[in-house]
Amino acid sequence: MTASATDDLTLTVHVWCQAGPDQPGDFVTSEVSVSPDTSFLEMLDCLNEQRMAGGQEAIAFDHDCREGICGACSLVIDGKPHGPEQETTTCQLHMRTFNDGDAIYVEPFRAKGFPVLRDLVVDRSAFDRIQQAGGYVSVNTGSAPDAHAVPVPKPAAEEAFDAAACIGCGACVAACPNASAMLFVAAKVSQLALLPQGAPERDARALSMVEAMDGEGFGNCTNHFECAAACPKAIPVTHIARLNREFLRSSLMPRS
Amino acid sequence: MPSWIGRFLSSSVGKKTVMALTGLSLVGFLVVHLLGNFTLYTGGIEGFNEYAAKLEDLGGLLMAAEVGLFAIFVIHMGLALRIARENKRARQENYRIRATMGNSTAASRSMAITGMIVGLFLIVHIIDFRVPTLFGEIDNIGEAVVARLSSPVGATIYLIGILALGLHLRHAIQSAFQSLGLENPNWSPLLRLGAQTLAWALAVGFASFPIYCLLTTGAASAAAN
Amino acid sequence: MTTQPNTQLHDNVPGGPLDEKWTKHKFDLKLVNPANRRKFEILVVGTGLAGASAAATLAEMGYSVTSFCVQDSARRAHSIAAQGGINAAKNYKNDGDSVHRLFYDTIKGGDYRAREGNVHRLAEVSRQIIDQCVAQGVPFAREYGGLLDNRSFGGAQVARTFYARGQTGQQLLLGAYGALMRQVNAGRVKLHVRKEMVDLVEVDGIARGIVTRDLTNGKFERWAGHAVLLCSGGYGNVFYLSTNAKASNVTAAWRAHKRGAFFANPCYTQIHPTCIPVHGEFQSKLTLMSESLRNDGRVWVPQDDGDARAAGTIPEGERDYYLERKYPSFGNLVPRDVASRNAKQVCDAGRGVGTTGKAVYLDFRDAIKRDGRDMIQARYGNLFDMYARITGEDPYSVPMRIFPAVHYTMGGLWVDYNLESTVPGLFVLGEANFSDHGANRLGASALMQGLADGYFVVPATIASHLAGRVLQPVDTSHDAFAQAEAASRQRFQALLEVQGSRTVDSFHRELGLICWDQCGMSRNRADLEKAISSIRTLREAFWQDVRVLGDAQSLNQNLEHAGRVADFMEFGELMVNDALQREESCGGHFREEHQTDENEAKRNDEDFCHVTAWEHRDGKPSQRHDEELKFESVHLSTRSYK
Repeated sequence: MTASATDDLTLTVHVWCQAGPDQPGDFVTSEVSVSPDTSFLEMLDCLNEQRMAGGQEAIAFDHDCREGICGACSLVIDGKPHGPEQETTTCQLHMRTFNDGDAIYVEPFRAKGFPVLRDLVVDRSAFDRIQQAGGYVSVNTGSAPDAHAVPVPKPAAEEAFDAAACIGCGACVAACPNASAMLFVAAKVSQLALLPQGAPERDARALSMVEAMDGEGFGNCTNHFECAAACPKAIPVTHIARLNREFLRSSLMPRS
Repeated sequence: MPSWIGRFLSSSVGKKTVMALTGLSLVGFLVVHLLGNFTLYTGGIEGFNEYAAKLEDLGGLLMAAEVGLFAIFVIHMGLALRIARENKRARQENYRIRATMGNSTAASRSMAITGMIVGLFLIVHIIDFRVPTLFGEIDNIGEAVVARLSSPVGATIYLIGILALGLHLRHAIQSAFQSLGLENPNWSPLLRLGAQTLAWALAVGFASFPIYCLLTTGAASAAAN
Repeated sequence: MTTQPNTQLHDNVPGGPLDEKWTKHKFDLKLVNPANRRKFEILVVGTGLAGASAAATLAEMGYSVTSFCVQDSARRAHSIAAQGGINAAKNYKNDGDSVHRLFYDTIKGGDYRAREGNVHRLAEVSRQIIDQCVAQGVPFAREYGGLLDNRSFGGAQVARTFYARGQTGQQLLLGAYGALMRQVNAGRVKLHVRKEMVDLVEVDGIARGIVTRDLTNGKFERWAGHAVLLCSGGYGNVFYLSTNAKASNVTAAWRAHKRGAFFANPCYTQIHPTCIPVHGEFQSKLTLMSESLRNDGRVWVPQDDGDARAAGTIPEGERDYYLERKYPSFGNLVPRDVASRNAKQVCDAGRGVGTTGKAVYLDFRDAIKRDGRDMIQARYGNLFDMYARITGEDPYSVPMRIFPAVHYTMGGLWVDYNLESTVPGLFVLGEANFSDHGANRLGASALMQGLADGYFVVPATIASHLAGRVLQPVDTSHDAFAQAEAASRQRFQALLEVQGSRTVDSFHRELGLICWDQCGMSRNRADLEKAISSIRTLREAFWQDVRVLGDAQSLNQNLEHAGRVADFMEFGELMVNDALQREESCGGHFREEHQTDENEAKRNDEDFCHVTAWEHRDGKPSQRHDEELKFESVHLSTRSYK
């Protein structure tokens, strides 16, 4: 073990607890000692083990892959979605980022579009519904041409990838002062707008995904760009500009 | 009206577009206004009055421009209020601990407040000069301006209004380009720089008038003594 | 448990030449009239590559599909974490690849413990998978001419791996997820998230439904259909520490097993050689780094045991590049099982590095010297960043420390050529089945298999069941549903009622440790026998002393975990027993009693050239069944990577 017991950090952790969707919530404070090598979620695991040993229920939080790719983990740590590190999901945040004696505040993502289910768990199914509105290429299995039939310029493929890296975690919404979901929607619209495979549905996609987004109660983008700073995959706001362009062109000058 | 217009205007991106276009139109007005004001420096009070007279000579055209400007302003303001209300509603329960991620600025976060200050300032400004000229209560507009801006109270009001305008524009102009999708790796850095420069140039340009008036009349009265 | 097999299992692989089997089979299969398809209700459990692709494709064909996942969104299944790539026999590189070569490499890589017919079909459809994914907008890596790039992966001698930076699994899954969302939008798929399958329902011996538990409010629900597709992933989390996601579990498969689906080759588990080593007792999971790192990184340990010097100060002559030394032709690119076992051997010999002594170096010093830091950063930048984030060390200046970790499970529910289990109407896809990888899976083959099963195989073969059997109308008011729901309710209630003193996690960790120590990279009879009795004891302790707080009517993650651990406790014993019964070394299953003089795996083709499929029998030992593996096209040889 790299850290001996003396190296452990002792932290005061204030975690948001809320019994159910429409129940009042508040911070619950506990002390926890962990090695600096543990991840933030492992710190919460320790805290939960401690709570359960004392007969208290564990605090609920979403997590799954714990390697920064599934997008399940969320949390707002000291006011920042996914905590203080850049380009890092909560599950990849390690306790060595904190100092012994720190007080840490943990809250759920807060947005009307992401209602709290319990404690730190929120419902992000709004994102799925936005995807359903057009975040795909309509191609049935088996009907695809050979993969080399349509070359894609490397720069376009690379930029499409930058957008496709979105993990759908919702940190953009959580960080936005307006709780806007523009970066999430832009990432998908932009990815498919950059690729020839996505071209036939470009107009319809931009219009319907924006409509779906608006219908979920997310705020309006006012170009604070906090989303890009919070995004664990560093998706740039240039994709939002492309979404704006796509939407404008589709509204004002549809190709059909 | 075709249905797409309603859909467009009620969508979040459509609203942004309208905000950007009305905002940029107002910026255009500010540029013209500032250039006109510079006649005070180039031609003194007389020069300024000549410019004012030329404007008045436009007659119906001036009226139309003013009505248009007013309409743009009302749309910009009304839409801003609506957006602010919607955005507030999108996060009903706010974070207990608030922090910024580092990309937003004081200017971007205070758009509603600076916008409102600019709005109030505009009312003051219109009451100061436009309403009296409209009813023929001012003979010499140049002198009236200098008199108003030379008084410490008047100058302070104008400086506060202009500072709010500067902050507002600092976010607004570049934000408008983003909202309209004007983004391109080659041009964006230049556009951003241009937007910032224009914002500060307008603010400094307008602020120069109360400062100039304070200093020159201060000096003139000192000389008279 | 008995060791005597009885029933001979029928693989249903069609006759004829190997490369015509699939085409012929598709022609021979019955078809369901397009107008009738919507009358068939298909239940799909899991939304990973296999589940999402199957649900979307079946819906496109016109079937009525209901899809379930335990995550909060269908986009989060653990397929998303696959990094390296996906194989396809496109031969775009003109380096001699072909369907037959991919087939051959996969059979050989699996140590001759997979079915020829299945594997050949996999190699055939691999090409269509790439076409499909590109058409969906999956941003694969491209060359400057705009065409797709390929790389050689996991020791393959040809460049046939398509990749999307280090996030291939993510991009493929999002492609399949998009296809699924399209069908949800069209109303042809009903999607239910945060619902866990807790039982399989059979009527007249045919799988006709499932029971789920809603993870947000504990509600049990019954779902009736004409077929059930299990796409619920592997069982790697029986080891507690693995590269699997935390929610990955064996419950759906185990419940189906207890309802009659045979479990095949559970002892075939893959231990991936390039993972970040364990750092402490609170570690909750292990992180894999793509084995593409072995293309440029050199694996070594100090020559002398107990050498505690910093890596940089150990002179060249006192380093043992043991893979290059022992396997001169493959070097650092030997298959996963070989690389993992060798790492264990040097660590067991006391030559491991790091504070735990359970790690070996993966050194990029020479590659950086040769190609420059920028080139290495371009190739592996995201992996290096990930390593630095987790360990707090800079891999550009000090060698990475790596150690093997449980990564994938080749075993799974037994299926025939149609991917149908021993329960009629129950199809099993992806990692949840045992079908294509034999005793060891090659790199970049898991994504291929998941998508092959979901996009191309099941959509064709499911007609054999739907059109081939008489399916009486069944709805959820049937007794079988009531009985299954009551049993599920009772199981969760029982967990809450134990009210003991130990947490669920503590039991899971202990189970994992038993499995890792005694049924991990290297196994022997004494340890395995000990493990069986330890697991039995632990299982009893679990049911007497586990403490699950909260109630069954709200979002209770502790109760979810308890249910899964309870199943792992039963499954673990089966896995260990299977390892005990398989008296040979093959692929990921290494029995110390069966090795060559050079410590290499020694297969026993005479007695074990078969699939072992276990039948569950209530209260009695599991019954073993064998499916003989017949090799018509390849000659069984000893794998050699020397």
